[in-house]
Parts: sequence; C-alpha cells; structure tokens
Amino acid sequence: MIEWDNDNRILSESSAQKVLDEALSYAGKRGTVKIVISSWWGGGQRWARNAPTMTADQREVTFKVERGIGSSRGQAETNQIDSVSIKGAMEVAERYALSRSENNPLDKETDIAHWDFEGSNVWSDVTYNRLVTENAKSVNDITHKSIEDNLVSAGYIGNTASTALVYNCDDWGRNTTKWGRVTSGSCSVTVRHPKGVGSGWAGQSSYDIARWDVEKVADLAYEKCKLSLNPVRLEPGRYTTILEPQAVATLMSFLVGALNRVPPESGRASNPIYQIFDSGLRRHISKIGVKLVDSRLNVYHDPQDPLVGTHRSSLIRKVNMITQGIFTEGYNSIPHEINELNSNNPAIVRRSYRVDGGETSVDEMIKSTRRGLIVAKLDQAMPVDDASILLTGVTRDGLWLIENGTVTKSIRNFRWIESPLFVFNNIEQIGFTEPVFNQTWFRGPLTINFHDSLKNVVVPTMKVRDFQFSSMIDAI
Amino acid sequence: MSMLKSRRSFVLGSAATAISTGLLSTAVANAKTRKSTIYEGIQDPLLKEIIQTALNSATDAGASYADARLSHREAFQVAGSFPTVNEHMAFGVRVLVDGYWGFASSPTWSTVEAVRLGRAAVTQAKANVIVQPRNWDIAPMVSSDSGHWTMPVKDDPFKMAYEEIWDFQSAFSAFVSSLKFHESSYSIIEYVRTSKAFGSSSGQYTTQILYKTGGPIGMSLLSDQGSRIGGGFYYATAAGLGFEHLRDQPLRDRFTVFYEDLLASLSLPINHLEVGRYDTLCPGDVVASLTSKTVGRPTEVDTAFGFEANAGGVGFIDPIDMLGSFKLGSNLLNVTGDRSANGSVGKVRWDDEGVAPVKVDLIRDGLVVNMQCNREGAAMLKDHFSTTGQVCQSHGCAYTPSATDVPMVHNMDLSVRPEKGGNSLDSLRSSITKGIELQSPYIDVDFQCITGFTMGTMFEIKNGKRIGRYLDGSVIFKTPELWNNLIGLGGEESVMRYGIDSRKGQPVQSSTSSVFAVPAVFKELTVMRTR
Repeated sequence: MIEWDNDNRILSESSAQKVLDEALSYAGKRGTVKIVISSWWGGGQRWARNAPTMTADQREVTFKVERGIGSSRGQAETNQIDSVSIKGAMEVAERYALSRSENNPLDKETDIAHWDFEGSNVWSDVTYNRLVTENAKSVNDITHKSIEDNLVSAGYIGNTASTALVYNCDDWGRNTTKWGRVTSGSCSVTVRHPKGVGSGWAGQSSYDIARWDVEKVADLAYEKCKLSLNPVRLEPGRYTTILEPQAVATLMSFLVGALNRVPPESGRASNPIYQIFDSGLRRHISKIGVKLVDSRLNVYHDPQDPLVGTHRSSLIRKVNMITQGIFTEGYNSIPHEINELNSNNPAIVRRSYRVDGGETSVDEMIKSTRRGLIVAKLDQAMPVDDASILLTGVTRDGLWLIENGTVTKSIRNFRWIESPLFVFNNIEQIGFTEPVFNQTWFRGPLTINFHDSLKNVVVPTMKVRDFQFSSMIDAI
Repeated sequence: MSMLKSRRSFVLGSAATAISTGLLSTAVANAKTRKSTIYEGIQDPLLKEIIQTALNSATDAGASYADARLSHREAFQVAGSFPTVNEHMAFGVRVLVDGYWGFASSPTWSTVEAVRLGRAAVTQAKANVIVQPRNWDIAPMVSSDSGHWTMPVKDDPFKMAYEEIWDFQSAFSAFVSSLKFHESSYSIIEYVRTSKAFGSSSGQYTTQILYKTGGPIGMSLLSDQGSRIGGGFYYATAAGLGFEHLRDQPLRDRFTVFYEDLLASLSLPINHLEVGRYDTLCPGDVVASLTSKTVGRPTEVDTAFGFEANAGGVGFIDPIDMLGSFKLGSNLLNVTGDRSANGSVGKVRWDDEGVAPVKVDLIRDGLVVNMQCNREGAAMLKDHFSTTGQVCQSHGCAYTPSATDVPMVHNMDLSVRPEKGGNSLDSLRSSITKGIELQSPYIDVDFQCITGFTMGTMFEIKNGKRIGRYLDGSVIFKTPELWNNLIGLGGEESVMRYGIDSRKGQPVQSSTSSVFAVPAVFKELTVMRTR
C-alpha cells in the first residue's frame, strides 16, 4: 500500500521496478508480456465568475498488463499495486489470453521488444514544486483585474507530474524496460463581458512553468475580450484569414493525425492520406514522396525539443513528417515496422510536433490584407470526410474583420468547413512560431503502445486565402 | 462445465476467490493497528470508519463542511477481439473553508490516508484565503437519510461466468457479420459495477451498488454496386441494468428489423440535395441526442451560471432572467429530469452529494421552468425558488465518475413526454408530403448550445415515403427555432430509452445518462450541403 505525502506524489523508478519484478514473477512462460506501471499527480485550480470554484490535489497509480498467447490476448488493469492485486491482474490477463487462443485468429501482430532509443526527459522541478498558494496568487491577480474592469473571468491553472515504467517482452523472451517521467502545466483564461457581448481567451502550456507568464496570458484574454465587444454580423463565405497559432494547430493536428498507416488486418478503412489503392498492383501503396502542402512547410517531431518532447519521448526518435511540403515519413504500428519493414527504429509519435515558422509579423499580415479576418481559435473541430480531411467546427473567443490593412470590427462567430489540405496549400504568409495551449490534464492508464502522448505543439501564425466560413452562429 | 470458471475468479474485485479477496485485502488498512483488513463489500463497517476519519480530519483542520467518497469500479469489456478487465478504487475528500472548495483524492483506502486527505483538502481550500472572501452557500438538505441501496438487476454480470457473456456477444457478432452486404460492424459493450460509499460532516452515511450495461452497436452495408450505408442500433445502449439488458430482449429480432431497414435504404438512389427548408423527421435517437445537447446541457445550473465559461461554454439560458418566462419550444415540448426510472443509467438512491434525487420539470409546455441543480446551484437559485413557492433544494444532479474526481452537475436522466395519441415513426413519416429524415447523424451544438449542426445520411421523403438518400446534407438550427418548430411527436408506444454520453468540466469528466425519447417532426428546418 502506498503511503502518500507531499514528497511522495508519484512513484519513483525503484518503486515501480519493484512492482514490475514482482509482476514478472507471476507471469507464465508462454507468450508476450506488456506491462505499464504509471503514476500521476495533479494540482489544479479552477475559477469562474471571478472567484475560485475548486482547488484540488489528485493522485493516481495504474498497473496495466497485456498478455498475448498465440493469436489471443487478454488485458487487465488495476490501480492497486499491492502483491495480491498485481498477482490477480497477471493471472486474469493470462487466463483471458489462454481461454481463446484457438478461437481468435485475428491478432497476428506481435510486438517485439528490442529497439534502440534516444533518451529525453521532459521534467521540470519548478513545475513539480509549484505550490498551490502560488497558483492561488495568480488566480487572485487575474480575478482582481476582472473585477476592477467590470468583466468576468473563468479559467484553470494546473500542474501535473507523471511517471511510467514500460516493459515489453516478445515470444522469444527478448525484452526491454523503459522509464520516463514528465511534468506539465497549463493555464487558460476566458474573460467575458457580464452581458455576454464579448469574450476573449488565451492559454499557455509547457512542461516547465518557468516558461509561463500567467500575467501575459491574462492580459491577452482581457485584450481580446475588449476587442471582441459587440460583434457585428458578416456574411459567411470565403475570406483571406489570419489564423493565430491556436487555430493553425487545430487544423494541422488533423493532418498530422492522418499520416498514419492503417494496417489492412485491423479491418478499418485504409487511410487515404497515408496510402492509396493501386488498382494495377492491387494493393495499397503509400503516398510518401507526394507533395501534400505548401513547400514552405516543414512538420516534424523531435523528442529532444523541450517544447515538443512527449511523455514517452525516450521511446521515440526524430520524425520528419513533412519536409518542404512533401510527405516524407508517416507512422506505422510497431509490429508492422518491426516485422514487415524490418525497422529497428519505429516512428510512432502522433500528436506532438513543430512547424517551422516564417518572418512575417502579425502586424505585417494585417497591413497587407485588403479585406479579411483574424481568427483566434477554431473550436469543436470534427471530421466531415476522412478522405479529404474535411473538418467543421466553430470560431470562438475572437474573430475580427480587417479592412484596408486595419482591424476594424469584431465579428460574430461562424461555423467553418475546411480541409487542412486546402488551407495549407493556400498560404500567403507565415509568421513566428509559438507553443500553443493544450489540455495537460492527463491522468490514469497510459497506453501500452505509447500513442496517447501529450499534444505539445509549436506552430506559426499563418495568413491563408479563401478560408471557408459556412454559416453564422449566435454563440459569443 | 469445469472449463467454465466462475466469473468471480476473473474479475479482480470480486470477493469469492483467492485472487479477488486477496486483491482487496491489502487495500484497506486500519490506522490503529496499521494492519490490513479484508474489505467485505461496500457495507463493510471499516469503510465507514475510514470516511469518518477523513471527515474528522477535515473538520479538525478547519472545514465548515466536508464530504468524503469511496468508489470501487469494476468493468469488463469485450472490444474488438480481446477482453479487458479493469478495477479502479478511489478515495476523495471535498471540503468547504471560508466559502472555498478544496479537494484531495488518491487510490488508497486506509484510515492513514483518510487523515492525510482530510488535511490536504483543507490545505487546498485555504490557499484561496488570499483571494477575496467568498460569501458562498450550499442549499440545505431536505432529507439526509443514511442507509444502503443496490440497483435492482436480474443478472449481475460480475456473478456470471465470463464465457457466458463472451459467447453471447461472439454469437451476436457472428450473426451480424453473416448478414448479406455486411461491410463492417462494431459492438463495444461494457459491463460496469460501481460500489460507492458517501459520508458528510452533517452525519449522513450512505452506500450504493450501481450497474451499467451496454454500449454502441452499429454496422455498415456495402452493395455489389459499391453503394454504402451505415447506421447505429440503439437497443443496447448503456442502461442501469445487468446482463438481462442484452439477454432478455429479442436482440436478434430487433437487429433484423434494423438491418432490413438499412438494406431497404441501401437500394435507394443517391439524390442531389437542393438547399432549402424542409419538414424534418427525426427518429427517437436523434431526438434523444438533441434533447441532451440543447435542453440538458443548458439547463445544467453550473453551465447556465458561467462555471463552464473556460471549458464547454456558457449556456444560453440565463437562469435569473429566463426561468419561467423563456419559451424554448412549442407547447408539445415537455422535458423532465429524473433519476428514479427503472433501467435508466443515472438511477441512484442518492447522488454524489448524498441528495435523494427529485423529479423535476425542466420544460413545461415549451417554457423553461427549472434547472438541473446540485446543492451549490440550488443555493444560487434561492430567490427563484422562493418567488415560485418551491423548496430550495438540490435535484440530485451531482455526479462524479469516480471518487478521484470532483463532483459536478451532470445531466439527469431526461424524458421527452410523448404526444397524447401520438404516432409511430412510420405514421409520422407518412404525414410528410415533402421533407427529409435524419439517420443516425452526428449532432454538434456550439459552446452556448444555441446553434446546432447535424451531419450524416438523410433520406428524401415524398408523399410519406423514403424515395432517396442525400449523402452530404446537414441541418443547421438555432435551438429555440428548432423546438418551436416541433409539430409532431411520437406516442407512448414509441418511447425508447437511449444511453447518451456527454463531457464537461476542466479537467474533463464524462458521464452517461438515459434519455427517454420519441420520434419527432419539425417543420421547415434549414438544410444545407456540407461539401
């Protein structure tokens, strides 16, 4: 049983290793074994209507095992790491795997457990040691300002730390054990007019909250709220649009997410962005080498990049996904990389990336725009059509009209329908990069295949042609 | 039969076997002896001691009010080709100090941990004392009875051989896969048993065992000509039932009806959609989803008061100005919140603040008359309750997915009242001369729940019959216009229960509630093309 205290908020490597050693002593001799022992701590403060609404300290631990015997698998998970719980989980997973081993021919993939990694940790003592009173002080400053300005603020400040010990063993007994730990923090602020006639939002995230500037985040939210007051209606249609980094990230994340190979054996439809069916060869061929987007765009993941590195970045090498607009590398499943492509170094990260920036400031973008819009945030994005990555969503917390090189009006929100393939082939200007906000509240079982990493994204502002706004919405 | 090991031996948390009793025997420890004690179900007196220890610790540290929860969730799922079993135990303590909430939680059930969590929650709350003082209140409890309650189910899945469940699902999947033109299908059925203990500094102590069974099932068909159609089958969505939810209904017969309907639709021509306004037929599942998103969410009191401003958004119904006067829909629209209906997934004896839920009219004859309240939200509506002669009380809407998380207002189980003498889906369709019918669309509403959008296949209806399909149609609507254009509802016979998932909060919380809905016809909704 864990005895938690202020110093023991997450598992140490030695504690996790002890749990692993014990778990392995219960594992049968046959089949594959995957075990993830993870722990998590989160401190968070939420506020609304200019007052704190909840301050919380939460802890979690997870033991997750997946056994594969022949063609069958079984999985068990518990958040209790005493001997009997671990033994129970190991036995249950094994029994499930054994009980269907003859009847289940679907799972042909077998993870292999030895490959080389470059190491990187994304850990900040400042984040881990930030006191709840410091968060409270920040909230106090923000809410004070909103009261003085007769505005209403709501927001969230949170810092978390998590660890994972990951063990993989294949059918031949080859195994690896990897340990990683990460901190993360995020702050987001919404400032609204009390009558609901304007709303501004800003957010910031980093593994290291020393890189934060809460005051700056709040100021930006205030500024956007004030600039967004009393929005006017504008006809929907296609507009030259300056997409702030948060909006760029929304679109780019869907494109990056589409760069993965869907194994035919999974039974799911193939991914038309990654691969295309060649009727002559009668098989899917990849689109690697095909130009997807504007040649100024480079999109890549580097685990050594402290603004991008992911939770399990020690398991991931640098991946150049798009180079000068050309699709250069996608993601495969680990078994496919190992067993079919003979790779010893799979590219498996999906959601953390950096896009190289340009040198155009937002002011310059505005000055060079005769008529267009600035979008702060694209909210509720969801796919309409997978083949073209056609998405829809709404604008939120900041939409302004530019006329003859000047921002002239706040505009009521739109529903938008657009594909990142279209948007990123219609880029006029590229601005400076900045890390965007991501929801860093990440808890509980980490996936064994490491795909569920944090979304650390660094992207530039972009000015694009003909962005499609399909209809007006009433929400402010 | 000897091969059929007891399900109890597979689920980690069951109490009968060496695996299961052992699992929990070390999870609960007594502070005085610091020795492990066997946890014998949620009514074990030791759990009361643990909760009381946390409450004492919190009040000793300065809490004016404290409540504590233990949750033990067992889940079994067969998704895709292999089963997973999951056990989660949590302990959470919430306190009120000088008008500020503090919360602390962990996975450890022990009296030692109870002391730490009680103090930690107070530390969290006290951190805010530097911020302006907060004059804050929670509504009084009308009744704060203690006791134990178990959701009545016929077949506790956790007392069954898991092979029985697995075989049932495998056979059903094989049946679905064998159907002509089957292209793909999915079935994500989960079996959950949650045991909860709750205590508060007011002296209340309750324990409950709750069940949730079900999940989404769907399939798509691909004809020889390459025509494709897909849809969701809603008879197995999550319900507050045991395994009987699946076994005791004519699942195959119902699926066959669903399949035949899909098959008939597959042969319909794909037509070109003219953008315009159309009378629109919505089957019950669509009405359930619309109700959850456009009535449920904006009547959650915290959403309405702006507590979700930095997350899901602020609802468009202002409870101060609009309650009792805002006409959300036509007189046909009547929506009730409740958590007592048998089989509903939200059914409880007490909510996660110890409140016995009450049945509440949210929309009466189209008028917004009430909000879904927890204790905090009810206190904010004190004046409204007073002027309308209502008791200022929580409606029992507090919910937390586990004791790890802070309780929040989540949708109650909602019921759309059927029309007296109302029709079936078929007869509603036959009443439409020219219109459309939505088929399992994705429905998205904006962050104020005021403007919405559907996406998915539509049918063209002419003279009461489906005559074609539109693949790229979308209905766009404003919530009040939608419901004010409601001109027909299904009758009593067409009421069906749907399990609807929703998310809110920061950090995000998920919940499932039941919506009892009927098919509906709306006049002249705006229809556009998505591509």
